[in-house]
Amino acid sequence: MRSISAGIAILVILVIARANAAGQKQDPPRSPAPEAKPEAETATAAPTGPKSYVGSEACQACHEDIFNAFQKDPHKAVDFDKKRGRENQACEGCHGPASSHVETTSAEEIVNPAKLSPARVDENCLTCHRNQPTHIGRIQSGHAKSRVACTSCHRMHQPEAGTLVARTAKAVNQQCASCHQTVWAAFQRPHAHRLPQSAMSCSDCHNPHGSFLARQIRTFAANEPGCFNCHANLRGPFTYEHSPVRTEGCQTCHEPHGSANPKMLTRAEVRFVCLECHANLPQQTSGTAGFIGVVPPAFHDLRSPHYRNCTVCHQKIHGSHADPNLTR
Amino acid sequence: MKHLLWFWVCFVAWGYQAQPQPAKPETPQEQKPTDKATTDKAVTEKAATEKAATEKPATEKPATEKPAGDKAPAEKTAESPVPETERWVSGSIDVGYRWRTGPGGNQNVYRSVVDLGEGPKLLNADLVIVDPKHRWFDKIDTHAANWGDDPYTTLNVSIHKKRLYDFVSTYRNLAYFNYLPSFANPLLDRGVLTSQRTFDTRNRMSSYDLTLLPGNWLIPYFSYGRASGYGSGVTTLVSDQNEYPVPLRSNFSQNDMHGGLRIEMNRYHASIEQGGTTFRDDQELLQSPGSNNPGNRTTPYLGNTLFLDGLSQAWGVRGHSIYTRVLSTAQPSSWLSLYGQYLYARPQNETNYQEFSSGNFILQSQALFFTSQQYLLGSAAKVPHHSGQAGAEIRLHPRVRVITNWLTDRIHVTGAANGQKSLSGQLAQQQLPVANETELRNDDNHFEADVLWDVTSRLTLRGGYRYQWGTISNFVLPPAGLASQSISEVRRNVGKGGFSYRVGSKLSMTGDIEGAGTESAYFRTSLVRYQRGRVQGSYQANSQLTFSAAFSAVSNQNPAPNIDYDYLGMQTSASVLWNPAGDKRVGFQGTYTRSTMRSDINFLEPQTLQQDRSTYRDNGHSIQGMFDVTVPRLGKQARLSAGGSFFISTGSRPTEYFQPIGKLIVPVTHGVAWVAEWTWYGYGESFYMYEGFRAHLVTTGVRITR
Repeated sequence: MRSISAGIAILVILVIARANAAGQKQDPPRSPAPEAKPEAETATAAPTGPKSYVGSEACQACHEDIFNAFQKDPHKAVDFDKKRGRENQACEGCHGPASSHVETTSAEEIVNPAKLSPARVDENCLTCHRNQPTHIGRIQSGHAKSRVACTSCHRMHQPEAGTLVARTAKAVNQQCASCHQTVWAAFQRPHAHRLPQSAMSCSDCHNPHGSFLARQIRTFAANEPGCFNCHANLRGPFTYEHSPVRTEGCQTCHEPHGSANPKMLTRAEVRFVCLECHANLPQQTSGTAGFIGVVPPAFHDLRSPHYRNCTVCHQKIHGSHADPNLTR
Repeated sequence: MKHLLWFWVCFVAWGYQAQPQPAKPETPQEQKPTDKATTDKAVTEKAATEKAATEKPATEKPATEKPAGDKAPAEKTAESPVPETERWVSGSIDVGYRWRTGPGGNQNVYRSVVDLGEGPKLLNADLVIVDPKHRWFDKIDTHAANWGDDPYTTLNVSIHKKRLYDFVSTYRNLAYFNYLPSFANPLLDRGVLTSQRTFDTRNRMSSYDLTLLPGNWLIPYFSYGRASGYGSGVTTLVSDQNEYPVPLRSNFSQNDMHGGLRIEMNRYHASIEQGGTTFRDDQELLQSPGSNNPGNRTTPYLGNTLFLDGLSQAWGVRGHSIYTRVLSTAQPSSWLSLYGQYLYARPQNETNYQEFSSGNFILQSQALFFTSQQYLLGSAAKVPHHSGQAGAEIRLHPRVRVITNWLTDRIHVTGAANGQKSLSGQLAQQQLPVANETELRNDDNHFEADVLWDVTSRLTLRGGYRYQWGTISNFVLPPAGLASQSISEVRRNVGKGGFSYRVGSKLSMTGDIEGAGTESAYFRTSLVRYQRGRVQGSYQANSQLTFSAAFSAVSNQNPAPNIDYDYLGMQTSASVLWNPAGDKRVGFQGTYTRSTMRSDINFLEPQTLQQDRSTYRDNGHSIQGMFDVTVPRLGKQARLSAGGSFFISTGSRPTEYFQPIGKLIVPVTHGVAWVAEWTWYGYGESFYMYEGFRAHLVTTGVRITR
């Protein structure tokens, strides 16, 4: 607790120090800072005067294909946004004031989000999208911390339908697998969720923006793991709970992506899945320093095939309404 | 669901027949707009069409590649501001027939792993329906796949009308067939290839989400979801000194309804949601009276042969829950972002259990034989579940950010069971009351802070710390068997670090590492002293060629003498994507992944309490690839694809699983193409040769495109 108190105290001090810093305006920037420049910048022609907005129609003159495709993009609505004062600035809302670029036609005089740092790209997108529920939990999500920018998954200027937001299971899976190759390889194992068959997608289980649960697992019914959205019969609550299901989740015993083992278990034989935890003498489980999981009674003779698969008898392994030993 | 599908087909046909109407240049709404403009629609559309009419001829100058239709809008604008090429219905439908050979080998394992059958199929349908007059809707998107008694049938329908509503629905019908002779088979050493834990069920999941007034600052939403499953299988009735495999029938359903309000201001957001679920689960085991079931025991017990000759077991679970979610984000200033959420749920269940069984049984605790048993039980459980999370992102400097997060999760399950077993036999009758109280309490908390430093525009470094603490207590009173009382806690300190490096869009690399020391943990296999690392990168050599690679590793040790847990898992992956000439003539995509897993841990043999060692090894190779090439001899847009997925593993369960695939698409006439696909499934296990199977599947059909 001391370390937490010290951390909180440091945090408060930093916040106060930041609050006392002068010259910060309350309103977020309307567009990426015009001073943001691509890395390998070499000026080809000096702009005349400060940059200003020229309107989306000016972009059409040279970028007609992109302009035409953009007419079907939901962000086209920015051109009609009088309330935020962005009318006719759908292009410049992301790419910055384009007056210099129109004068010089130089790529150096316009903001290219593909060359911005991920933090700047996110800042650009969140100028408008900050107030949406997708932002909740995003800050501490793995994607945000690994600097996966919004545009890594949401591609603005692709002519194919569905690339702004992948809608089909196949498109979602292809997108996620482009980075998470090792995870996609796990789905090629024989016992796996039906993602390669496009019956499910990564976003059925994971919230790519962020989630309350670890590994960005989706929630069901407020705060339960998203597994129970489909596996409703295993949700409980059970009169006799099997504690690892509640405390450490389904991945205690299962490989949720795919496994060569039956039932997507973590071990090739069921008895080892159980006995690796159920190996404590009774007195070892009762103290505050003990591990949970008592060794089975002596009649469980492992030399007999009778006792090599625990779930032959302990069928209600996820929890039982009727029997403390999970046999009914 | 069939009625819904037929309605959808008729509606599509009606839309197909409708004459294309001049359409306003309104953007189809795939995603709700984020702005809060309330601009008059007619004014903006008129402005857009006027711009198109007056400015488009001037844009002919740039010598850029243009599709053939570009001139049409320019010509069109002389007569009408509306393009005439927009249609009601566009998309494609694939219908065909699948043939299957075999499968050779184990039919049950084929069904457990692949489960594709023969017959006519709606293979795929992707349709977009647009109403040019924007009456009841702007756009309908439909995606359907694998209809026709396939094991995974899906349908997605989304309907949008700009600024009025968004409706998204999903339907899945998944078959779950599981019959693996090597699993749950205590008779395997006698050469009996049956499993005593099998399932042949159908699970249906559907969800319907309606959002009203998207893009507004006040957005109500409603959602309904249903998950259900029904089917049969095999399980066991357990009694002292024997267990009896018996048929099982199961039927469960869960309904989830929730609604709420989203408040989306410029820099603030709040969501308030209230919901509830209902649940029912009915299972029964049946064995006809007079049929003899000897069970898994092969020898008499105390001179008596144990058997089951009649069973009627049923239990019904009824449950419900209510839940509440309150979420909020805020950016009170340019350097500070805040978020928080509170979640509460309280599910509860009640169960009625009845069992009537006859045969010859033993009550081992009293060495009492009996011939019939009646077991009546009622039980109930509930679990108030509170969760809270709060965090902030503090941008101290344009290049430095601090991210903090605090989380708490508290579960408290309480249960009670009351019932009675009545045993009848030749010698005695026994009444055994059952009364238990149960409780499981788990409190988990963590606090973490990360600092991200943009060293340059290309390089970002980050470091952080997380502290996790929690307790768990679990008891059953009075103590019985394995379930007695247990208490444990977790105290874990985690250090984290990482980097990301980018050079424009050509090269990107990210990496992170995490390591922890744990003072205490819940389970022997929990993370105690662990290190986790990952590096991945992508290099775009040119617009046609991209390479990417990834490496990840997890190591965990629990050095306690009676545990000595040592775990190491590593994965390495490399892939290439090649699309010369913009994917017009040929393309190739391939990935190779190597995975290894090693686990060793001590355990106790129950019969002797002697220490033994559990060893698990898995060394896997996975290759996925697809090669596409045009076949001009067969037609202008004829394409041949070949590739598939190939998996091999050695170790504790050596397995091979091959899925090569070949596909040919040949245009027949305008909007119609012939499609043929061949897939082969080959599966084998070195230790369980009887579980292997082979099957060829050939599917042929037509693709209609509009």
